[in-house]
Amino acid sequence: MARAVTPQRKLINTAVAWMVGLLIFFPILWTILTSFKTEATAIADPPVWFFFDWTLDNYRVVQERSDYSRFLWNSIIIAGGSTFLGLLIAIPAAWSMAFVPSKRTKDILLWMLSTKMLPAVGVLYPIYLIFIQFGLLDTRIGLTIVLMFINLPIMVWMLYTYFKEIPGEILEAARMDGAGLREEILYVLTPMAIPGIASTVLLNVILAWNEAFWTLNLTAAKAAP
Amino acid sequence: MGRIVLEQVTKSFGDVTVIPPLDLTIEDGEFAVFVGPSGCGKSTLLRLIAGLEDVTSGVIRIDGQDATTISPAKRGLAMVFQSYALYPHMSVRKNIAFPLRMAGLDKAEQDRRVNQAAAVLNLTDYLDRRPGQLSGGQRQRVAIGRAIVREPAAFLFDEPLSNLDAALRVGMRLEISELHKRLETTMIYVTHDQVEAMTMADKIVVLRAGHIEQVGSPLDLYHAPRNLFVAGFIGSPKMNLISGPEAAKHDAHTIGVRPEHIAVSATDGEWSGVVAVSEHLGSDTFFHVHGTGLADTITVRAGGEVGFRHGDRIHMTPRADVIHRFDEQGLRIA
Repeated sequence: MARAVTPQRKLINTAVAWMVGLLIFFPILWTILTSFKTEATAIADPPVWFFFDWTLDNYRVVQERSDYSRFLWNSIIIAGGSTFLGLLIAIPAAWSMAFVPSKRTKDILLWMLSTKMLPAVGVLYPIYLIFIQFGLLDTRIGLTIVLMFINLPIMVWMLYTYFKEIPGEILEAARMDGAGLREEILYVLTPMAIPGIASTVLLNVILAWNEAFWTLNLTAAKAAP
Repeated sequence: MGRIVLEQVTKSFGDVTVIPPLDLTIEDGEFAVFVGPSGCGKSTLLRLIAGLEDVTSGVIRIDGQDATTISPAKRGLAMVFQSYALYPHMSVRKNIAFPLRMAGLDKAEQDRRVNQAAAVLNLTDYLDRRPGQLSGGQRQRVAIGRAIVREPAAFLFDEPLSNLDAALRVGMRLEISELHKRLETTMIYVTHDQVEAMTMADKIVVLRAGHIEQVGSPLDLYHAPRNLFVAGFIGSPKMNLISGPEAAKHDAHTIGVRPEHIAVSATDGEWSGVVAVSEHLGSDTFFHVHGTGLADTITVRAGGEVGFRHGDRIHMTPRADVIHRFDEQGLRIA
């Protein structure tokens, strides 16, 4: 039987939940509100809440000073692009590790993860030289490729653990039904792994979006996100 | 057409040999059952035929063509798995149509064949449901539907009924037998249940540790088991195997007497013992008799209701004409 909840109890719970929610949301709300204020109202004491002269001036200044929308667009292209490229490699890689493992599969997985333990600055110099050689410095494609490789071990790991949960017999059934490798991955494995792929995509987009080290070192005005 | 021939087929996983060299022919239209205790290699053998495992050596021919290295998709076989292996994200209709879609058939032909299969298998009302919304028996039917739409050269069944409850299992057993009669397509069926093997098969292949112990019709195996293993495996309840002086009387190392070939009496008989357990099925009564001096337990099957109970002394007489004789190696003496 479900727990009995009295109406008063429900009321208190709801009120407390809203309070906690608002408290956590408050810094974000305050930032949003401040962005519409002039400098004077922003530092006014006592603070003003909603009743001030709303202005878009701050947004105009940001855009004029630095062409903000281009940076935003770069971010979208680089985060989205590196995730998409990563999936193209990570899905087949995770498939083979999950469904046709070899004796060394576990070692390879650990080795891939170990690359994440290397401080990024340790490989900055060679990568910087490679970028100069290939003319990739300050290009979106260059940064996309680097971010894709950096996050690839995590993508393969995550997809591998999700794929492991899918019973191999279903893929065998697809093979018996006449599906080739491409159809097997496209029509059977991927749709079944959608929740796993979705969370991998989300994590990777966030990681790529927030990445700062390579972004600062490999890009300048043109491709900076 | 679906004549399947295995020539000197072997399979090893690393150092472990699962199938030592094995020859077997399954004729077109035959219902062959691979039966044996778990771990005997029967499922591996089926997967070798399907192409889901690669043979270590040897040749597999399907309709005379060497199929040893052909991918499972191109062998023209259909398989029904123990776990059903339905695609959970597709409706029943799409599940059944999947092999047709892979074969590149046009939509109208796909629909026609799916509807036809659904009608045969009583699935018409469930075509738009997902597998998760079906019962075990219905899922098994969908799996069979998915196999029959592509009109394969042969059907492979890997213990398809072992996840069903007892009543459903009997029903599905009949359905599969009827399907075989109607389609007249080769079927290879793997089970550890000798009752399924006896009731469905044209040909039973008894396996132990990858070896074929005997191949034959169900009644061949019942009447003339080639060795002690087959004798003990085929038939329910199991054959009584008796060694020692009683066997020597028949010039054999071991004799086998089926429970149904022993007559019981309250007063006199060749053997006697005490009833340990009596199982009353109504149609039959099984007695498990101890203290006979022949074997630990002698099982007797008496027709109808026979009134011996626990602790009663019982006298038994085996039918002399159906005593099976085996030598020291456990092989049948003709």
